[in-house]
Amino acid sequence: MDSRRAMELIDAHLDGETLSDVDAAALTEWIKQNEKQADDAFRRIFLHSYLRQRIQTLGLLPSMEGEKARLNRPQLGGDLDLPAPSSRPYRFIPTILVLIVLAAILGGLMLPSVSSLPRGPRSAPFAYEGFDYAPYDAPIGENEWPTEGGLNGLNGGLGFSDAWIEAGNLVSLIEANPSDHPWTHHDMRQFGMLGYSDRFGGILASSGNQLRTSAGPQSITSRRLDVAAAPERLQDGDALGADGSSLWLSFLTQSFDSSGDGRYAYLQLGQNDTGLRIGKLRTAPSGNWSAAAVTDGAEVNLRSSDKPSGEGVLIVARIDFRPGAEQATIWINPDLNEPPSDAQSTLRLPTPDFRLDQISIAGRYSTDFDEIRLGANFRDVTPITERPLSP
Amino acid sequence: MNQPAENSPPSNALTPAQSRELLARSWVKAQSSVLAFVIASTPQFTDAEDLLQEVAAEIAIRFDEYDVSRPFLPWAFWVAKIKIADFYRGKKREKLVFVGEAMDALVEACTRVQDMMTEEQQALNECLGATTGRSRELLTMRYAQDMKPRQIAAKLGMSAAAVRVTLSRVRTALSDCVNQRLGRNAS
Repeated sequence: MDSRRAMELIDAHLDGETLSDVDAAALTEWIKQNEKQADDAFRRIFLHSYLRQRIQTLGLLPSMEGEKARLNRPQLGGDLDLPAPSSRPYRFIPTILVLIVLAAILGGLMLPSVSSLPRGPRSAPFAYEGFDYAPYDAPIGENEWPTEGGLNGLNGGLGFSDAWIEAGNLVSLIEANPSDHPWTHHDMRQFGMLGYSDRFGGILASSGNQLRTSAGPQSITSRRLDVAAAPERLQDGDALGADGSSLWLSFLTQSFDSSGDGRYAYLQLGQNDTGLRIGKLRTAPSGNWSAAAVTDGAEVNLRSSDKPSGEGVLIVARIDFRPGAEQATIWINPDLNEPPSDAQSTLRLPTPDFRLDQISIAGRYSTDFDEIRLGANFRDVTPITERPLSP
Repeated sequence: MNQPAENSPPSNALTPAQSRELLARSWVKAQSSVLAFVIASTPQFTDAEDLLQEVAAEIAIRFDEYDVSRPFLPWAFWVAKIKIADFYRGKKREKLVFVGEAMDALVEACTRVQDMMTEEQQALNECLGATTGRSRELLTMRYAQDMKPRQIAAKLGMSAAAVRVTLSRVRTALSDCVNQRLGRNAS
């Protein structure tokens, strides 16, 4: 078997074709024959996984056709439209590259350490809630979700003017030990507390307990912001959202599983008449992480990601307040070493003109939220922990 | 293959809180890697997502067996391999093809090329951004829309064989582009 045929068989396998026994055996032998062939096979698998993750999550990078024509560069691959490598120095484009993968899994691949990456100075959010309150420890039976208590009156964190208020017929709870409280055997949250590490090993600072929305309709847990704690340029009277300013938000979240079809659990900025919802949305049939503008209680301009809500994620959002409609730009699982570009965003949508003086977390499907941060820039809301990973 | 060592300190030597934190931190680092491995072993993306959930649950259940003095990733991979084998046993009519038998060789390949992966990713990003025309169309249909070659063929009025060959050539061209950017001879 030659290299071209081996690559075709790997491609066929990863495109979902069933290899014949003869082809599978021949490919196996080819991979095991020598190191170079094994390396080539690994790189081909890497290529597939990268393409799947990169394109499904972010789409293709902007085409360089225009630049290509300008530079009159020769084409590689004839009718494949692939240009020859440019001689210009290329700029590092951080993306969600999953696949260091097999290497990382097996060889203990050492990604570049966080400290080796360029990073600006960190600052601090003007509002932070880490839900480090006493956990709810009583057992919860089926159809017995608590109807009172919850987060009512809890007033930790910083940057808020009042305590949390429960307004639903069910309440949110504080969870300290997801592995001991799976809602069912298939609860995706049971393997640990919410957390996030980017592809370079940068770890978002997170600690303590987390909020869990109700399993069943519905919990609505809200808290008013201390508007005066925000930078002046963000303030518009007694709310946030002065035209020309940008507000950054981040939080960790993970749902019980990835089911959609009307199930929801989201964080809302603003009110039900005008605002922005981010999370698992009732109007997103897929159950994937989504965002929508809110107007008169209805979700509009829905945008859905390819990321299932059963997967824990870090969501970072920037709301650009402008005269008239606002613009929301959302990244799911961005790298932490530098602010992500708009081209790398996962979701973008216009929202109605709105101001905010509170945040709310509503749910009718058990979903965890943690480490809510509001700030004036990306670094405010993405602090990196200095603690080492290894015990 | 990295398996838990006997007579070494398991994670239950930690306090429950330490153990939970270690599991959470280890998993968030390992998750994307495990997913990619699962994709390589289980090319149907929906199957891979289901299987990843099974792997995650198994890791949580077995975490007390984890030897904290050893790297987490190889242990997670060992668990993933068990679940992948279970998955294929459950399928009965399907079988894990080359990945299973060739896995040890691929493990060694990972070790050899690991130091070059970061720059390879950067080069690949640039090469991907430079695709145009039919190449971009096929890549988008295959990966963004998760269409199989047969479905792409029906939509574009091509034969399935032509789609498979063209996609394979696009991938080879991308690989050659990466090699040239990195100053290596194309393989």
